[in-house]
Amino acid sequence: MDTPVEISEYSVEPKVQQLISFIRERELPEQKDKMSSFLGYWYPVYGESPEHEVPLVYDAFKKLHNRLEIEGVSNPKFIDLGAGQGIVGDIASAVAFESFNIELDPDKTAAGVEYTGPWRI
Amino acid sequence: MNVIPKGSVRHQAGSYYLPEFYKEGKNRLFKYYKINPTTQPNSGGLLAVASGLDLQDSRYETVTAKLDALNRTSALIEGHLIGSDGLLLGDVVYCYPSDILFGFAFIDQMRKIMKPGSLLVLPKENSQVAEAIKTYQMEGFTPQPTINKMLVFKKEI
Repeated sequence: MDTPVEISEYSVEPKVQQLISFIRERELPEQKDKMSSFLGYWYPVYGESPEHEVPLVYDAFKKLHNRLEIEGVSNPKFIDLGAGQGIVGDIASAVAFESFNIELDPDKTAAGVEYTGPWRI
Repeated sequence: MNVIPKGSVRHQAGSYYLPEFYKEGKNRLFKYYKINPTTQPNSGGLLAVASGLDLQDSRYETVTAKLDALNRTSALIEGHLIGSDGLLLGDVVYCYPSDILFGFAFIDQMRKIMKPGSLLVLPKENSQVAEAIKTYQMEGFTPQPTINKMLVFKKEI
């Protein structure tokens, strides 16, 4: 398999900062507990916190969205499989999708946790 | 502040496996247990904590009951995310694996249900993803340039 090439670094837009605040404001107590449990595992994946991770995910999906539209895919649909655990990564990806036409499909297979996250408005 | 437009995101509870892929994944998991009775498969680290599933307990009855409960319904079916052609109605499919069946069923399922030309996005720095790529060689997918620590694969036509 060919080695993929990194094509960009992420950028942080003012809107993303708003989204991070949105997450922080709506963290539920049980989510904070979960996040503490997962700190050593989860955060190193994309960054160290929502402040790191949200811009990464947001920017990546914006790039993919733009790419697909350039390729002629009108209003592309995004599906996040596993966005049901109420922890940072999935919240981040969920929020990252907000400006797009997105379907969220939380994974109770992996987590078994009923999620009542911030994007359910 | 209401930054998420109502209706732009839909939340669908349920498993992300279709029943046939769940069944096959579970079979493969227990074959793994038989061959590796003292070694746990890579679960992504989250399953045990989140679902109460004790990964040190590989007894078939215990694990399968909990997995069956977690996979009682498929979000893909319940959410009408499978088209009449049997393919997933998504242009971009993202998954952060945290699933004990990921290495046994996920890639196979995606290879069979993603529509040609759609993109599969997986975290780059994730041991389950690394193992799956090594196992499946992502046959049926063409690697794309990575974006922000995410691996991107295009489903081949």
